Amino acid sequence: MIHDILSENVRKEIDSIRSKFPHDKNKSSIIESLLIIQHENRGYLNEELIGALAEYLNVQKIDVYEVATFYSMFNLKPVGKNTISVCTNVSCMLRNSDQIVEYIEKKLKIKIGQSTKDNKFYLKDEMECLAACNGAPMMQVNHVNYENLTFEKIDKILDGIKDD
Amino acid sequence: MIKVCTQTFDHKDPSSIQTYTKLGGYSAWREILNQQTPKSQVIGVIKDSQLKGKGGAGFLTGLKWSFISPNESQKYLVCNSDESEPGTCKDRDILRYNPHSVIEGMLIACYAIGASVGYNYLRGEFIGDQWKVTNNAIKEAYEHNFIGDNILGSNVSIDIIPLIGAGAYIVGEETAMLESIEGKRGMPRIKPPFPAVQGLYGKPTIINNTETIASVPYIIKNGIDWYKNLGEGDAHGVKMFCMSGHLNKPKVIEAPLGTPFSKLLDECNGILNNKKLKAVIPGGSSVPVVKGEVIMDTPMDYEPLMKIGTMLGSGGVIVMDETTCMVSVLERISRFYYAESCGQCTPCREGTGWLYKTLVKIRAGQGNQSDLDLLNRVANQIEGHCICALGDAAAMPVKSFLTNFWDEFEYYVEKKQSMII
Amino acid sequence: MHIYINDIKFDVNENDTIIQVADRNDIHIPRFCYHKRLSIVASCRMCLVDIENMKYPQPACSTIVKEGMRVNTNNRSAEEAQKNTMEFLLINHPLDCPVCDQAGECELQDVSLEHGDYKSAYKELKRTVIDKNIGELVSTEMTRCIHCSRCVRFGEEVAGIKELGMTGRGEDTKIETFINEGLSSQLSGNVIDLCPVGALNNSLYKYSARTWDLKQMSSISSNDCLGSNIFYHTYNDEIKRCIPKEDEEINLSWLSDNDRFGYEGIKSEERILHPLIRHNENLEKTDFNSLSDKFIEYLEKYSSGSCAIMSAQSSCEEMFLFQDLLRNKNVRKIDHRSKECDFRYQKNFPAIPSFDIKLADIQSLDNIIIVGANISKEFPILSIYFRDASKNNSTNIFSLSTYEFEENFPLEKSDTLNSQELENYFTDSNNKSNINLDKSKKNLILIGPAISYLSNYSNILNNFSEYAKSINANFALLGDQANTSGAWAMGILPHRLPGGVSIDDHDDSYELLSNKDDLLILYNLEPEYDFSDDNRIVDKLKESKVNIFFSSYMTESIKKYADIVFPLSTQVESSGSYLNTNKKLQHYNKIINPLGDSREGADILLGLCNTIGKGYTHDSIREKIKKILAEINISNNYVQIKNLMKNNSSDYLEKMIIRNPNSSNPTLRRCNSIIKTHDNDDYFSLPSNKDVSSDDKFIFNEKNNKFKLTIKQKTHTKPINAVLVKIGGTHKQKIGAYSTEIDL
Ligand SMILES: Cc1cc2nc3c(=O)[nH]c(=O)nc-3n(C[C@H](O)[C@H](O)[C@H](O)COP(=O)(O)O)c2cc1C
Ligand code: SF4
Ligand code: FES
Repeated sequence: MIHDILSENVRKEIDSIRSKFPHDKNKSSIIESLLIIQHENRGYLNEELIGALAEYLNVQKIDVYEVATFYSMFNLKPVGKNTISVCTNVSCMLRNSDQIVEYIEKKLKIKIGQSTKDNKFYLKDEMECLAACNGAPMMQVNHVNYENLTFEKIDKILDGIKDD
Repeated sequence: MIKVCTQTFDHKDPSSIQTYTKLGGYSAWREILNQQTPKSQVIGVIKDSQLKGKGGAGFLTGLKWSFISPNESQKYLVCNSDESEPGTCKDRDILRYNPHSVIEGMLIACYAIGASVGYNYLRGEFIGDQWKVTNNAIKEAYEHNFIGDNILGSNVSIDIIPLIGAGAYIVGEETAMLESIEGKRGMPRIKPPFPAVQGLYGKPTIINNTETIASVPYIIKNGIDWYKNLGEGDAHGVKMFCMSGHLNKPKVIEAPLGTPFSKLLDECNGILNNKKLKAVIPGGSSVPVVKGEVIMDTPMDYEPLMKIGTMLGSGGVIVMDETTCMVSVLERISRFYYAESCGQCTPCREGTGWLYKTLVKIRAGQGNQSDLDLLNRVANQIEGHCICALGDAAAMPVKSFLTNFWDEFEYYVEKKQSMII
Repeated sequence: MHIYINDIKFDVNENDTIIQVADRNDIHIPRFCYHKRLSIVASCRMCLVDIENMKYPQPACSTIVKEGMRVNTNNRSAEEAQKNTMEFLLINHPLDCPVCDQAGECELQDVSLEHGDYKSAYKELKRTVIDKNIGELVSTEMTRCIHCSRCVRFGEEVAGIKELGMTGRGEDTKIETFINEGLSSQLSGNVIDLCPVGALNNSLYKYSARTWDLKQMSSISSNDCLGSNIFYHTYNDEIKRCIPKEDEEINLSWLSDNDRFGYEGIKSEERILHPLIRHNENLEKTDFNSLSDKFIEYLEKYSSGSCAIMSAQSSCEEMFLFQDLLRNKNVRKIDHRSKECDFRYQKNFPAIPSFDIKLADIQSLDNIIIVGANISKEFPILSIYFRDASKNNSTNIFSLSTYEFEENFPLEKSDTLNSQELENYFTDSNNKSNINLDKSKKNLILIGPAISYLSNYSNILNNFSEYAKSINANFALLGDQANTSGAWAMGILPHRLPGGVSIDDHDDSYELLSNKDDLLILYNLEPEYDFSDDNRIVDKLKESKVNIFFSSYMTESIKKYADIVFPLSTQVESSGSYLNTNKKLQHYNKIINPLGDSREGADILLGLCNTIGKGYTHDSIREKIKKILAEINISNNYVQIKNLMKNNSSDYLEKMIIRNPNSSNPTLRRCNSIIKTHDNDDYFSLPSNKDVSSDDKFIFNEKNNKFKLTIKQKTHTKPINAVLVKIGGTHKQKIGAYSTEIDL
C-alpha cells in the first residue's frame, strides 16, 4: 500500500508541493516530490518509491520514471550518505580541480562516481558547473558550498562529518 | 563603483526584508500599486531603459514583455534562476544577498504582463543555500503583504512561488524550463509558438533571467535615463561580470556595460601570478573564445564583442593564462555539452558525443590531422540545425578554439602531446 | 495563399506546414519523427529544407508556410543538411540490416540510400542498449532506436495510456517501459508500424519472412462491429502479419491488437479439418455430400420443430443463405442472439441497429453517455475518436455500467450500477445524482452490447430511448459481433425476414432457449462460450433429438453432443461481407486457403440451397444483399415498447456479464499471445441483496439452474454487494455447464 511506502510526513510535503501548481497539473509536482522522497530514502530512489509517487499523484509510472532518469540529482541506485560533488568545469579546472578530485579519490579510496565501502561518502561525477566560479576550486558536500579549496581544507571538511 | 542588483551585498544581513526596504526596496512596487500605473506604462519604462536580458541572448526585456498575448486571461511569469552556464555565478549572489530585488522585480513584471502567478525556478544544486534564502524572503514578503491577495489594499493579487530543479543544465533554456515546471523531462520546445503566446501550461508566459528581473525595481524607481546613463560610451546600463579562471582575485563585478576588459582585469588584480593573458571566454563557456590581446581594450558590451567574433552571453568571463592547454580546456567544455544534451534532436544527441569522443582521442595521443577537420565539420553540422541553442553552444567553442589556436591543436595531433608543459 | 517548392507554385492553406504541402503534392521529403496523426516535435531533423533568406535549413515538418515562401527540398543546402542528419543517425545505429525484420521497409535504410553517404567518418564505439521484455506482442531491439519518439507520442496522444517513455538523457536516451512492465493498451501493436526502424517489432512476425517476399491483400476485421480495414501479408499461403489499411472513415492509420494479431487462432489445434458424423459414441470423418444429404433429411423431418442459431460473426452471404434454406423447410425459430434472454423489445427494434453517427462526427458532440461498455477494451478504435472529442472539443463523456471500467479518455462522471438501477436511472425521480443534459446540445446515448445480455434489456432500451428522445439525443446501438447489424438486416431472427420485413404470426412470449426443440442447429457457435445461459444450452443439447453444428473449432460439448459437424473455414479463409455498425457494407476476400477439408460457410450453404433447387450463385447472392439493404429505410434507433412490464428480478441473483471482446469471436479466443498480453478473462458481476464478503458460499440462481459459488475474493466495491467472478475466456471450466462450484 502506498501509505506504507510514503510516510505521512512525505505525503504532507507532497501535498504542499501540489498546492504550488494549478489543481489539475499533478505532473508538476513530480520533481520536487522526488527530491523529498529521495532525501527520506537515504539519497536514492527505487521502483517502489517511483510507483508509489505515481499512484499518489495519479500520474503514469513511466512519467515519473522519465523524470527520475533525466535529472542528474536523482540516484536510482543506493549511494553513500554524504554526497560530494567537486566542480570540474572550466573555471574550476583552470584552478586545478582535477587535483582536488584526485586527492579526494585517494583519501576516500574510491574512484569518482563511487561510494565508500562504509557507505559514508558518495563522490558524484559532477558534469555541471556549480556556479561558484569565483570561488574555484570548489565542491558541494550535501549541497553546501565549500570554496577556494586546499587539501587541508578538504581534510577538515570531510573529517568533520560525523557518522550517524 | 555603481550598484544596481548588488546594492545590498555589502550590508549587514543583506537578504533580510529590513535591509532591502531600508535601501528603498519595495517603494517602486508600492508606487505602482498606489498610482495604479497602467501596464503599458511599466512596459514602456523597461523598454525605453534599454534593459537587455542578462541570461545570454541579450534580448530587450521591455520588448519581450510587450509580446505577451492579450487574449488569454491566465498568464505566467517565470524567473530563470537555473544559472548553470559554466563560468557564470552572478544569479546565485543575487539570490542569496538580494533576494527581495528578485521578488519585487517579479511582482512588477507580473503586474506589467498581467500574470497572477510568478514562478522562480532555481537550479537543484541551489537547494542548500539559495533555496532557503529565497523561500524565506518570499515568506517575509507575504507577511508584509507585498505578495498575496489584495496586495496592500490595491485589489491586485499576485503569488510568487519558488520552484527547484534537480540537476540539468538544459533546463536553463527557457522552453525546457517550462517543460520542467510542467513536471517533464527538460526538453526544449520548438519555436514558434513562442512562450509569450503559448508558454507554461499552454498559457502566455514571459521568462527572464534573475539578474534581468532584479534590475527592474531599480529602473522603475530611478527612471529610464538613470539606467541608460549607467553605461559607458555607447552602452546602456550595467551588467554583472563573473570573473573567473587565472586571476589573482576572481570575483563578481557589477560594472557599466561598455567597461573595457582591461579595467575588469585590473579589478581582479590582474592575471594569477603575473603570467601572460592567453585567452578569454567572455560570456560563459558557450560563446567563442578570443585571444587575450584581441579583447584587452574591447568594451564589454554586446556590439563590440560581436565585432571581435564573440558574445557577451551570460557575463561569465573565463580568463586563461599562458599555461593553459587549449586542447584540454576544449575537451572539458565538449564533455559538458555532451553530458548535458537533452537527447531529443539528432545533431545534438549524436554530434556532441562525436565531438567529445574525438577530443578524447586527440588528448590520448591517438588523433591525427583529419580529426581536426572532422571536429570542424561536425561542429558545422550541428550549428544552426537543432531545436535549441545547446547545439550551437557545443559547436561554437569547438570552432573558435580551432580557429584561434589551430597551431596548438596541430601540435597535439602531430607530437601526441600538449604544446604547454 | 501560395508558396513555391522547388520553383513550382502551390496553393496552400494558412496553417499548413511545408511537409503537408509537399505530401499533398507528392514531393518527397524524408522524415522520421513526423507522422501526420501525431503531434509535431521536429526533433529528428531529417526533413530539413532550404528556405530562401534563411541562414540555416529549416524543418519542413514544423515550419508553417508564409505567403510567397520559396522552399527547396533538393538543392545543395537541403541535400547537405539531410545527408548530415543521416550521418548522425547512423553513427549509433547498428549495421545489422541482414538480420533485421525491418529491412526492405526500413525508413532509415531507404533514406540512407537516397540521402546518406556510404562511408562514415565515425570510428568510435557504437551505443548498445540492453533489451527488456515489454510483452508478447511487441518485441524490441532497442539498439536500433533512432529516438524519433513516435512510439511515445502514440501512447500519450492516441492510445491514451503512456506506457513507453523516453528515459535517460543525451546519447543515453532510451525508449522503455517502466522498470518491469509490459504493454497493456489494446492499441499497443501500432507502435510496430510507427517505428521507422527495426526497434519495435511484431513478435508473431519476427524472423518469419522477408518483407519483399510478402504478398499484400486487403480485408476487413472480424473482431468488432466497426470493421477496421486491414492488410494481410502472406507468404506461401500463410499469413505472416497484419497491418492497418488507411481508412479515413473507420480505423484511420490504426488497428486494435485484436485485429492485428487475431489471426493467430486459425492455426489452433482445435480446428475441425473434416466433415464429421456421429457413429455410436464417436464423431467420424465423412464426406460433404453424405453430410449434406443427412442434413436436408433432418430438416425435412423436423421442419418447424427445429431451432437454428447462427453466430453474428457470419457474413451477410452466409446469413441470407442460411435463413433462406431454413425458411424453405419451414423452420421458424431462427436467431443469432445466443447471449440474450429478454426478447420483448424485438418488434420495436430498428431494422438495422447501428451507431448512427459518422465516426469523424463524434468530434462535434457535446455529450456522450456510454451505457454498459468499456470502450477502450471492447472498441479500441472507437476510443481514439472519443479521446479526440474530449481533447479537441471538450466533449463530456459519461459512463453508466455494471463495473468500474477504466477508459483511456477522461470521464466526466462514471456510475456503477446493477441492472435494476440502470433500468431506473432516468426514471427514478429520487435519483439525485443523475446526469442532466441540455436539450439544445448535441447529445449521444450509446448502448453497449453487454446490456443486451441482461434480463431487463427491453426495459433499459425503452427507458433510455425515452430519455434520449426527450433530450434530442442520438441513440446508438453497438453490435456484439462483427456482423450484428447484418444479422438484423438479413433476417437471422424469428420475427423478421431479410430487409426487416415482419412476420405476422409471431408469438410475443418468445424465448430462444426455453422450449424443447427436436432439431438444434448451431452455426459457428460454441456452447461453452457463446451462450450467457450456458446451463440452458447444455440442457437443450441433451434434450433435442439431433444436434447439427457448423464450426471451425472442436469443443468438449461439440464432441459430446454433435450428430453432424460441418467444418467451417475461418473468416480469413473465406470471402464475404459484413455490415458494420455505421451500416457500411464491406466486402472481404479469401486471404489463404481453408485449412484441411474445412470449407467456406457460404459455399456449403450455397450447395445446400442448390440441392433444394434454388439455383443461386455467389454473384446473385451479393446482388440480392445489396438490393435488400438499399430498400431498408430507418430514421432512428429509438426502441419504444408499449405496455412494458417492469422487470422484477429481486428474488434471485442475476449475473451480469462483463463483456470480453474476445468472447465474440472463436478465432480470437485462441490467440495465445493476445491472451497472455491483455486481461482477457470474462467476468460476471453478481449483484446480491445480501452483504457478500469473502468466504461466503451461496447459491447462484440462474433462472432455473442453481450452482454454488464460494467467494474467495471480493474484487470491487461497486455496485454495492456485487461480487465479481472471473471466469477465464481460456479456461475450459466455466460456470454452469461444466462445473457447479468455482474457486476464485
Ligand atoms: C542551453 C541553454 C542554457 C541556458 N541557460 C540559462 C540559464 O542558466 N540561465 C538563464 O537565465 N538563461 C539561460 N538560457 C537563456 C534562456 O533560454 C533565456 O533566453 C533567458 O532566460 C531569457 O531571459 P533574459 O531575456 O532575461 O536573458 C539558456 C539558454 C540555452 C540555449
Ligand atoms: S523505438 Fe522506434 S518509434 Fe520509438 S523512438 Fe525509437 S525509433 Fe522511434
Ligand atoms: S520529420 Fe521534421 S524534424 Fe523529424
